[in-house]
Amino acid sequence: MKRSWLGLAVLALVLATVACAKPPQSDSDAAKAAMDDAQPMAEKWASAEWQAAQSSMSAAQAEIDAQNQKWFKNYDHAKELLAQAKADAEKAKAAAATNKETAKNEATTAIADATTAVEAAKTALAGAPKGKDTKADLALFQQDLDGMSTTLSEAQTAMQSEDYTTAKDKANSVKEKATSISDQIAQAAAKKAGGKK
Amino acid sequence: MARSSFILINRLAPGGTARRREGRRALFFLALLTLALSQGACETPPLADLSRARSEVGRAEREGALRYAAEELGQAEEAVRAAQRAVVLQSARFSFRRDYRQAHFLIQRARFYAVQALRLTLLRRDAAHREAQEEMAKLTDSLARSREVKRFLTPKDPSIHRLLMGAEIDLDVAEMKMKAQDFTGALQAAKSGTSRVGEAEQQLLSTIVQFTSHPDLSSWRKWVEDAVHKGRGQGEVAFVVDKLRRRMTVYRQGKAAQTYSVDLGLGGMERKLRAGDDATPEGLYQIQEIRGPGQTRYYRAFLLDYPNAQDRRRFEEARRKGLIPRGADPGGLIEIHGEGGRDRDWTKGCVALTNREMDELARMVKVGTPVAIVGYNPRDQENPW
Repeated sequence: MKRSWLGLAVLALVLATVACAKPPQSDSDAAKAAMDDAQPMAEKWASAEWQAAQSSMSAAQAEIDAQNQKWFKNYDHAKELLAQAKADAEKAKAAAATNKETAKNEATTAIADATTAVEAAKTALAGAPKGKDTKADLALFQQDLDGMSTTLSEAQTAMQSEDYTTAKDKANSVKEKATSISDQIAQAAAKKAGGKK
Repeated sequence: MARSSFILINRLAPGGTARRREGRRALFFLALLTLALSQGACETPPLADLSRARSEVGRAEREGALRYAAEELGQAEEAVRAAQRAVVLQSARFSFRRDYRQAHFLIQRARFYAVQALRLTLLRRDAAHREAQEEMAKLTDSLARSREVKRFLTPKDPSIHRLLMGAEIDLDVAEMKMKAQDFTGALQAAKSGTSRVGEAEQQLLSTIVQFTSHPDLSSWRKWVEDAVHKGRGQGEVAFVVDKLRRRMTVYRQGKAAQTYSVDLGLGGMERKLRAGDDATPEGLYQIQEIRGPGQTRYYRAFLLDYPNAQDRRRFEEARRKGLIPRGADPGGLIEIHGEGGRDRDWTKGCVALTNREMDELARMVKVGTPVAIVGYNPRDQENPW
């Protein structure tokens, strides 16, 4: 009889412990904070990873809701899911930072390359043979190069507003055009040198 | 089965008709309860529908809904999340208490918004694509026109050059963005280019307007009339070079007989003041000397009597005003010559045509043929553009 009472008491204790399990508020807060922290950058720079994090968070929330409805609550799985959501949010944030940095580096490199190409064209222009027949072409090349310098300034502005794709596209276009001018000057010089022979 | 039911009824209602009726009612409710329980227990979570909704949302995302239908996509995603929560919630309940109606409703809602998002994305993306293509075509056309405009530009029009170069780069950027399926970006770049070309054309137009109401217009008119009159009096031709239109008109018997496109000096519309300014002079001249092949670097050349008395007076006046450096002279050797047709200004102040055109002109020209070079020929009523 005594034994039965003891068993019942233990059972009641276990039931009370399980039934009174609290939702994992701190885990939930941590996961939400990680999501809030990741969102601004991840939405733009790592959309796939951000979607995954959102799904994880949603699954965790669903599990918490489900456990909240139960008599015998067990939030262990919810905690795992929250940890996963937090990890996914951090992963999305890291991926966003990496992607953004990559885009920034690519744009920076493109601008540097374009600037070099414009400078090379200007140098080639300064050393180009001048004559009545070429003076007009050289003057127009100079104007074109000035226009390209203006575009490079616009690319820098795009960089400042974090529009790295536009900055890169503009820089690539400038590079192509400046290289074309250098090539034309080199061809004209080669033609002239060939003519002298 | 019927027998056992009968026994059960008899047990429930061992005596009397009323008790038997009560027993039947109890049996009926028991059957009903069993049916309800079995229905509840058999209800399965709508996982396939949820998965379908998810895949529809995924498709909308892949098609670019985030850019083109963000609101509808957000609604769909929210509904999927809510549906998922509802499914998990109901699945955790005792089987007879499960009710997936809310989940079904949310799934339907998610699918509705996903379909809406996809439909709007495709519509808006197509519209953006089409709009970007149209704007790019417009920019390509206006750039082609601007090449014509460029023909009339000289290095002394730097802002117009900058604008046109910017527009060319905008077109490149638009093409890159089109390739990357960024139609909105492509449209934006193309619009920027079109705007630049428009600005360049506006600047150019204001230059043209300046010339059509230029203070020298009366002088230009007089020179043109004098040249045409002189040519008619001699029964010969007269040449009128219109610097603004880059065009030379041959007047025969007072009437425009032929027109030729010409290349001018690098100074473009500027009026020649001194040697080395690369500008084409303005005035009433006559052909002083005719040089054929082998006598000039430029195939054929008709030497003009620049500087004439008026040019010398202007030069002296400018020198007095300190507008020209000391030691400068008015220059000379201004010709109408060949090797032209380059569609740009490149000479040191001469008027250049193609060699074939020079052959044609050589047959009608003689020493003394009048040549009026003017900023704008008021006799030519055709629009400068």
